[in-house]
Amino acid sequence: MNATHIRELPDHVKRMIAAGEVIEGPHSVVKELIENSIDSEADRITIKIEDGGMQRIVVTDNGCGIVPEELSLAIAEHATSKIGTVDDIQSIYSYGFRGEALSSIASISHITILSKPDGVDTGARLICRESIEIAPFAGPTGTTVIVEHLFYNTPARKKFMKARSTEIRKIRESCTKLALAHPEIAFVLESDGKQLFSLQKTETVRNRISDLFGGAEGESLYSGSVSDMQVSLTGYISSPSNLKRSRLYQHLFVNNRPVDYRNLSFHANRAYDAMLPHGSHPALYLFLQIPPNLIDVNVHPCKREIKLFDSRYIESLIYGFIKKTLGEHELSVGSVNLNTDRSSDSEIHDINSERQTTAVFKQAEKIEKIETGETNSPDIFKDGRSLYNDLQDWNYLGTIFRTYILIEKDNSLKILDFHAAHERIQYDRLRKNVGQVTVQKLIFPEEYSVTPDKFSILTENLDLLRSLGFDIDIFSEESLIINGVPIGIDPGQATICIDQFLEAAVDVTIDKNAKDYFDEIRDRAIERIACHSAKRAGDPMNRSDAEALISMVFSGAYELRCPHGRPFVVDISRSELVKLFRR
Amino acid sequence: MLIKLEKSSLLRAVLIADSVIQGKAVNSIIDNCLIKVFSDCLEIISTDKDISIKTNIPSESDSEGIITCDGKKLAQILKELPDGIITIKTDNNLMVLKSSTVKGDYKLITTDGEDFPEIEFGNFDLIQINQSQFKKMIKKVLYAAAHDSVKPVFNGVYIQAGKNSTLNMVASDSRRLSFTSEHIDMVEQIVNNAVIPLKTINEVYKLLDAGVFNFALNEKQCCFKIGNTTIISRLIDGNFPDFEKVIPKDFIDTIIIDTKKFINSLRRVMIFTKEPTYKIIMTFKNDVLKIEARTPEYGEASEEIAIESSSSQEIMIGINGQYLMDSAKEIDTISFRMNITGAMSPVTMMPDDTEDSIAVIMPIQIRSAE
Ligand SMILES: Nc1ncnc2c1ncn2[C@@H]1O[C@H](COP(=O)(O)OP(=O)(O)OP(=O)(O)O)[C@@H](O)[C@H]1O
Ligand SMILES: [Mg+2]
Repeated sequence: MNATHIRELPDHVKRMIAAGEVIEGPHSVVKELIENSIDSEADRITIKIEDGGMQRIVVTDNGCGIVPEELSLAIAEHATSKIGTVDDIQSIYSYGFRGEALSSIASISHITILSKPDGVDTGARLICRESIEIAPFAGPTGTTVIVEHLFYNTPARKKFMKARSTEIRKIRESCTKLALAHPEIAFVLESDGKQLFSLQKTETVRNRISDLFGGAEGESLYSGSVSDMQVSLTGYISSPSNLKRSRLYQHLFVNNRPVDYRNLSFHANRAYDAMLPHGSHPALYLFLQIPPNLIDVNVHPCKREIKLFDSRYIESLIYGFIKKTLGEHELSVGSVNLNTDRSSDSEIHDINSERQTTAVFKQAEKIEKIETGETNSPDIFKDGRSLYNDLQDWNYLGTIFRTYILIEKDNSLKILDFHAAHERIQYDRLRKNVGQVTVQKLIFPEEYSVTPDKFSILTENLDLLRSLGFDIDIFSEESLIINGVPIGIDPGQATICIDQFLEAAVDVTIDKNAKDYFDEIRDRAIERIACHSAKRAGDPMNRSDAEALISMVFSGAYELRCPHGRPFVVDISRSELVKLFRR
Repeated sequence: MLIKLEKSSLLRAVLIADSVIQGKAVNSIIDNCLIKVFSDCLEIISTDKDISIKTNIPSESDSEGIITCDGKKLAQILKELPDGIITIKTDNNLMVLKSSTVKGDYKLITTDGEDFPEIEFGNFDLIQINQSQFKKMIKKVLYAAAHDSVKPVFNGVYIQAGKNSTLNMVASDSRRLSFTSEHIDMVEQIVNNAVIPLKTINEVYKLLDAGVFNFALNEKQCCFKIGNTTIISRLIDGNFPDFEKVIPKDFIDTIIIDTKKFINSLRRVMIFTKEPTYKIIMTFKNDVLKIEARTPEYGEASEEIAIESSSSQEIMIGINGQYLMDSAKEIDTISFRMNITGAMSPVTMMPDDTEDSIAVIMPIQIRSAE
């Protein structure tokens, strides 16, 4: 082969390569155009696409328009009206700041811009093909951008485009996100002449959600807000009775910019915790307002990701926001009302709700007071236990069917399903271990032997197992050695826990829908381990075990639902009992 | 059948029998006590399938026979009656109690004793052991046993005939272990080793008092004859892991601590710990032991105790404070030794005059996962 010469690429090739980063497909064009329209302070934006945007994309707004003399600058590289100095980049409130979108689009498509600023009679029309043509334009105030034949000059890119329906879905997603952030703007989206949505201007995000996803959806959401110095977070989240089967309804906006935030789901799940049955996800519409100098929006070519000055802080803010919002709406979590006919008895209802609130306050007060002793001490070593008795405000009545514990407390009879209660405690302990693990070292390490295929699954996930609190190492070619277990797990169950972990890992490997491989394994493994390490119905439950469990359950530190979201305490108030006896 | 006997001895025998009964199975014959009547004595028997217990008490009877009755009810009425001689007359499905001082008839329903399973209190080769010695041994190890581990051998007390007529006793839940060893004559005559269920050990512990008792062991069962009571119990299947291997012999530091001071400091610091970890940080440095606890919800505590240390190296160990407390309480000397093998390795505690009782505690480790 002959030596080739190193040459600089021609400008238009450079531009096409750069454009590839900004424009991934028709949906990116739509996103850039809508953002420009929003920046132009339009209050009505119409988007029309043909053939999934590959044939034509037309975005029309009634914003400020572009003065005819500057129209050709709009498609020039690095030409923008939005920032002028380096300092401005530190205070970006507009979507655009690079002056790159239109020039990128122009380099890989046939672009036409019609624009008329307010207050002038005629605007201008720019047609960009091989060369640029500019002509007068006498339409209404605002801007229309028409993008045709996307990727006509980059056939390789064109070949890699996803199916038309996928593109339409992505376009719809982009429009939806921006529409959510701007209820004050009317949006119309049309695909091949068919209207996908038409959204009126409205006052609140909740109304916008209702218009997009149905009135009931909007109404069922809980709203909340938290703020802290310069940062605030407001938004809407699902009530526990209206959860979703997918994560598609989870949105985070930072200064109204939709961003992909990988850990959002994780922290939301952490906050929903027991209210979230396996496989369900809350809808989240979160709006973070933060001074622009504390974020860096210029890290992703599509601006989909941003860099936050302190992601831990933001995570805790999100977590706190969800907890608080749920707390404000879910006062009576864990108290289940019996199915008595209450329409005829408003009095009981009232007594009930009063009792519930006071119970909640009492629980909160007690978080710090009640603690249990070591449950492991045999009956003959009872000292120490009495220490807690004077703080106790419940009365253990007994265990029935070897499944339920009966307790008298707060003027009501409480029935506790001890397996589910114990499962919750085990689950919380394991969950708490995520991030910071407390490992109980074992006096007698356990050897765990497996078949080669399972051995390799385990060795791949060794770090994950360790992060859950298992001190585990490879022992031989087909066995591992367990030197420690998460605190609270019976060392005798060490190998059973690994069995459960393995099953979770196998499940997730098979399940193609599982998104975050490791997160999913961890979640499922924790559920399985909690379930297996909890006492089961029928297991012996002596008085001291029962009392230890009760004081933990009512310490206020635990959600009164099992990890699958089912309540494990049934509450029959005195008045309900009276009613049952038809007095 | 007419039986005459001392009320208090019958009450005690019935209470012993009743403590074994779990009362899970409703209407099961073994929820009852079995009373075997001989001309000069009674045997009060109960069983829960794993443990059977029999107490022999003197009585006078005009004939022999078997009755079963609800032990709880019988104990209740006996408790209320004044001490002294009582008579029992059996009559079809009733037993009629009469006190010599109270005028009254108490008729307790009985069931047919023939349905009660036959319990073999068989023949064992018994050795004699001092009761208080054995009781002390149980107390030293029992706290370290698990309650309801999935691994059955942890739910019991392991006994082993050691060299030179010693009996080793061990309990562990794999988080901690307690070992004690005592000289016992003829101990080598019993089967080498066994794991005795916790419940059996608890029953035995309650009965042990002064004097000697007889003990025997075969492959499947153990037998205790304490006074006029005999306990036969199933053993726990499975091998207890090799405990000798895990008791460390080499240390990086040996510390001597005042037992009382240690317990008192620990008790105060423990207020700032939380289940299930009860995490305490011990830092050993230059003849000072610092004990600290920190729980975000409660706050924190720290105390310093003067110690004698064999090394000047600073070592920090995270450990369950409750475990330290349990072991320290079983130490009966004024000061004790604590041996350190490393931050992530076992800590041992023993009285400073002997190596016959050792507690081993595994540390806990807090790691930040990334
Ligand atoms: N719909 C519109 N209405 C008014 N002006 C527009 C519109 N679209 C584009 N412009 C003008 O054209 C310029 C270039 O737009 P372009 O999208 O290429 O860059 P930008 O928005 O400034 O930055 P970015 O590359 O980050 O999007 C804008 O700065 C703006 O002045
Ligand atoms: Mg732009």
